[in-house]
Amino acid sequence: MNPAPEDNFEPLQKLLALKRHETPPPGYFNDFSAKICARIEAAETAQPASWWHRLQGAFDAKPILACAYGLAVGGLTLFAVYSASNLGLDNANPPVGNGASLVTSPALQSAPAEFAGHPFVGNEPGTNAPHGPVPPNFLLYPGELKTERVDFKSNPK
Amino acid sequence: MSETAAANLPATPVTGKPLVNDPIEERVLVKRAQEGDLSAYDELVRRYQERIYATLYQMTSNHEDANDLAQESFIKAYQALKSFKGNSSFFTWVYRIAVNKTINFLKQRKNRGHMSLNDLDFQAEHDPDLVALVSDKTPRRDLNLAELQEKLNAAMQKLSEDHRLVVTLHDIQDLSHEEISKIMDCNVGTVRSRLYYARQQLQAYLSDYLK
Repeated sequence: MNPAPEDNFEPLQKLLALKRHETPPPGYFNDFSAKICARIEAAETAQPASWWHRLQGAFDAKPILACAYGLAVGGLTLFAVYSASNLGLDNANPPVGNGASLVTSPALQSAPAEFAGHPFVGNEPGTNAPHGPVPPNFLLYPGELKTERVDFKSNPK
Repeated sequence: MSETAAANLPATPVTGKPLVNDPIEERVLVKRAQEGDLSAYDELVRRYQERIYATLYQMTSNHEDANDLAQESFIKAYQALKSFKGNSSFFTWVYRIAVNKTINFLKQRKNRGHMSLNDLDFQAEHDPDLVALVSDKTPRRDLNLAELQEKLNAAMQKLSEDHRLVVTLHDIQDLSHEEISKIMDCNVGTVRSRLYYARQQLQAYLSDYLK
C-alpha cells in the first residue's frame, strides 16, 4: 500500500540530512573533554557539592525523582495548611459542657466577693468593658497605692 | 522501561559510528570514574562528546548554547555517577541527562532564543540530494545551501521541544524508536506518533522547498 502524499516523508528526510553536515568550528572537540575535567576538578577543590546540588544532579538523571519531590513538598504543605486550619477551629470553639462558666481567667475567678455587682466583674472573656476582666487593684483603690522614695545620692557600698 | 533491556541493545550504527563501543570496556571505565578516576571519565566524554553536542546543537540551533549545555551535562553526569547502577548503557544514561537539561533550558528560554548556526562541511555541496534540493525543486533557483539551512533550522525551532527531539534523534541521529523511547522515558508508540506529527508539521513549514 502506498502512503498518502502527505505521509511521504522521503523528501523531508533528505532535507533533514543537511543538518548532519553542520559541524562546529575546526578543533572544537580537541580540548572539549579536558575542559570538562578541569571544571570538575575546580568544582571539587572549591567546595564539596551541597545536598541541594546533589539532589539537582539526581533530578537531572531521574526526572521522576523531581516529580516525587514536588508531590511530597506539596503534600506536606497541604497537610500543614489543613492542620493549621483545624487548630484555629479548636481554639475558636473551646469545649463547653454541663453549663460550666465560660470564664476561665484566674483574675475573674479570684475576684473579691465585694465586687460581685461591679460593672467590670463577671463579664465574658474577650469582651470589652463594661464586660471585661477585673482591673488591677491600684485602679480600684487608688488610695492604697504605695509610693517609695529613692535616694540616688547614697552609695550602698 | 527496564534498564536491563537498554543494556542488551545491539551496537547500532549511528551516523557511521557504533552506539556502544565496547560494553565491557565501558563498564570498566565507568567503574573507575565512579571511584574518582578523572582520566577514565575523560575517555568516556571523548566517546560521546560529538553525539551529545550534535543533539544539543540540533535542539537549540545555537553553537554557544549547545556548548554550554554539553559541558554542563557531562559535569552533572559525573556528579551523579555514583547513582548510576550500570543496568543501562552509560550512553543512554548520559543522553537522558543531556536531553532533560536541554528541554528545561529551552522551556526557560522560550521566545528569547536566536540562532547561531555552524558552518556546513565541504561534503554538503557534493551531496546529490542536497544539490537537487537547491537546484531543481525550490521556487528560488538561486537559493543556496546556507539559506536552506537557515530555513530548515527556523522550521525546526517552530516545533515543540518533544517533537524537535524525536526528529533530531530519529531523522538526524538515526537512533531507533526503542532507543529514543528509553532516552525520552516514554513508550515506543508515543515516539512513533510524535515523529509522525513532527514530520507533518515540518513538511507544512517547508512545503516550498519540498516540491
